[in-house]
Amino acid sequence: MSRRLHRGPCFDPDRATVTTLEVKDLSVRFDTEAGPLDAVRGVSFSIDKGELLALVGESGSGKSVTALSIPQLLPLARVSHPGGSIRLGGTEMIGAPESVLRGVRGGKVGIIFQEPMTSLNPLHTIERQIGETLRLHQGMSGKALRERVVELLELVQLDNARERMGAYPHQLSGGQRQRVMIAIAVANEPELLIADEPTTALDVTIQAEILKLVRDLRARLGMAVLLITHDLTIVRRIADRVCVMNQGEIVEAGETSRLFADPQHAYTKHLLASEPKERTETKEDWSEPVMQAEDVVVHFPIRKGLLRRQVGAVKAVNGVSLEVHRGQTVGIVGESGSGKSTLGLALLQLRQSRGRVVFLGNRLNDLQSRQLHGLRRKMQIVFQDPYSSLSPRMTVRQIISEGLEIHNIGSSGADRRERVAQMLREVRLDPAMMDRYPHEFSGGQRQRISIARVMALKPDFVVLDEPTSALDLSVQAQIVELLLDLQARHGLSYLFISHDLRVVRGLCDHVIVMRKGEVVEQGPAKAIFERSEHPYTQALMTASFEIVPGQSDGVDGLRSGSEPY
Amino acid sequence: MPPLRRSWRLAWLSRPVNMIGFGFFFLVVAAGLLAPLIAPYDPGLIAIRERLQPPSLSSGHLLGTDHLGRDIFSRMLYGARVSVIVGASVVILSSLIGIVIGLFGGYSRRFGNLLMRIIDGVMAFPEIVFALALIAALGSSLTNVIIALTFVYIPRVARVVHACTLALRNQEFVLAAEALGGKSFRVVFRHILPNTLGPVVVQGTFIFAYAVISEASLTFLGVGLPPGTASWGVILAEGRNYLLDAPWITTFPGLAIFLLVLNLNILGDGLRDLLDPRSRKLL
Repeated sequence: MSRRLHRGPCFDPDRATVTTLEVKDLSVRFDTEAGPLDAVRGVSFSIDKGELLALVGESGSGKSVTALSIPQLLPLARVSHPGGSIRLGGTEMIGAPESVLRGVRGGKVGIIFQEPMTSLNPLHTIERQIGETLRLHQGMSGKALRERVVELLELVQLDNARERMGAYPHQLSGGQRQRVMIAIAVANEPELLIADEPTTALDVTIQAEILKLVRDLRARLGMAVLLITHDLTIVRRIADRVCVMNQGEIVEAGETSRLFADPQHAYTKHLLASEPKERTETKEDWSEPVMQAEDVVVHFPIRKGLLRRQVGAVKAVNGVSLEVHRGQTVGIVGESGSGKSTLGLALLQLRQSRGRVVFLGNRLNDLQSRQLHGLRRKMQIVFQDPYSSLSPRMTVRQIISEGLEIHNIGSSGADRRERVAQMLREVRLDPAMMDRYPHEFSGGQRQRISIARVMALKPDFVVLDEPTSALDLSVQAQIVELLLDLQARHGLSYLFISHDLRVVRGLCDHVIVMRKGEVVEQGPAKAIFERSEHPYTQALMTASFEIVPGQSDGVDGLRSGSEPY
Repeated sequence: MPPLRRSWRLAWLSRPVNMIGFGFFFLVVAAGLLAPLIAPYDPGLIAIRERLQPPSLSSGHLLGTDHLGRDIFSRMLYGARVSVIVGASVVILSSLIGIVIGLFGGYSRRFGNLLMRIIDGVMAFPEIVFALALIAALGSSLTNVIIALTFVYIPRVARVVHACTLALRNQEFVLAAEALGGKSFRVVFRHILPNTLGPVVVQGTFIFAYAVISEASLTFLGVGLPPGTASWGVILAEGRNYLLDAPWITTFPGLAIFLLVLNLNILGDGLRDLLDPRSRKLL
């Protein structure tokens, strides 16, 4: 282990401990067909033993590329390092022979990826997948190997570790899979753990558990941890120091508490300002109901056997009642599988449902499809994923004018063209881009196109199904602002479906908390956020909302920056 | 299908692989169309005295003659015509029917499954045997060869379209079209169909190639086209008895079939890149 010798932007003279990783002046260049692309330029940072450093940035900032260059996992043929050095425990990684790197990967460096669904092999049991790394690096086998696997599974707090060893990934939940991933990553007691967005794909309550686990393991195993994330709340909770990345460079670095309290760089300020804020003015009295639903039930039949006989049902939505008034935003929060999206589709009659749904005085369940067709114009939906919700073979103009064609709005091509241009201006896109295809736009722009498609029909009621979840923080803020602006201008009613309580708090007048197809609690947003009564709501709140650094007694004491290792 | 901008087409064609694939296919089509103009002899003209002549530039028989003294080059040109007619007709007919079956099978929740199982049943027969049986029932002629091969290749298209439709049906943009109030017909033909066309066109080039081979095979086996016709398969079948004495009779049609099929495969891969707006960026 070498003492720190160089002064990087993350250098901190007060701390003089053993340096695990030292990255100095690192550059990463991709050879693309359009010419060389510098994804990372002159990045320097170091991590001490037992320290947790967060690398924060939006998509495309180069944070994952930086992390993957540490064990030299980027495809060599297309990637080069024009300069810089990566020293792991004194050994230079750049240009190291493959035999050295194989010992590093999975040995000295453990990695956790974002998607626990795809980073485990679906055909192998978890025992085999954890055992593989032990066999490769430590040559373990037989009973010793088995015992070590159990020990690791207990270390990552997987329940019934011994019984679960023979399980396949699909038999585990997302959180359990991520625990297995962590077990693999720490199996050989690495000096450095790289966690690349380890909780992004998980529900908030599980997110909190996984973060707690990472923090505990760091203390127990004395690892250095490099956490890659875009989520500032996570950073604030568990990181000792932060490096903020933007366009391939570290723009600001420092102690977590100091950086959050007093950001220096303009980009850091911008990032912090993009965090969802609380809604300032709230209205309490609503009088004009637009959408009323009573006792909505959606069951998906489970069929078995040769004759596909129905043997049971998945109760996706089980007796939900709600009311949305003109100009009101009702938020539905819940974790994945709570039935919130299905409820949205059922209200719009896009899923078969039972119960009473009344929209603008019409009982939707009784209507013939012809009558329903006319009402469709007035109730619309915006989906989560701006990449799959736009047809890749249609131009933006065709996409936006489709609703107009279906409902015979506007007469000629020129008239519709003008309407499309107007819609694009309304969502703040350049109308000159209307003849392009969706793949030429960024995620945020695509979401604006989805919104324009819906707004072109001048609806009264819009279901927003996680419209901001797939977007970067600063883009998220812009979309929320756009939605609020459109609502104010056109008197729209929103049903806002989200798992992110922070966005809901910034947008909604009324909040419904769902769990396993049923409403747990509902009420005015202010009441729910300030004095929630149900323990499940309270658990969601604690998992979602920030814990101010330094207050380690907050909730379950997730942060432990100053604890001895 | 989205209008292709001229620059894309040029960029696509300027890749040597695509140029070769497209060029050879174009050459075969042109040869078939222009056969009466460029063929030096009548393809059926029998000249016993000049039988089994080897290829030479001086004798006037560029690729030699067969056992009846017919000019192989002229017969090959007319044969290209048959191959193109059979290939193109089978591709167009089986694609049209296969697309409708595949779309319906994938989109209709009620009858789709049943329909696709029937298609699977058809697919269970070996292609040549199935075609043989159909021609045996219908009688051998060019039209019946086309009908038989169309039936044989419908399941291939239907399966591809069905698989695409199943995947696309759950995409959010399809749900979005339904939410806008689009009727099933519109959703299927405006949103699902265009996204299945890439694979169908690629499949089409393979079917073209298979159809050419199958026609030749059927004719070789003696059930395809009547012996007098000039087709690559007929030339191959008739030259079989002279394989050792006059190998040129079978060599050239064999080579033509091989090159056409190879180039169609190259063309298919190229078309797949061209037809996807997302991959056009990479050209």
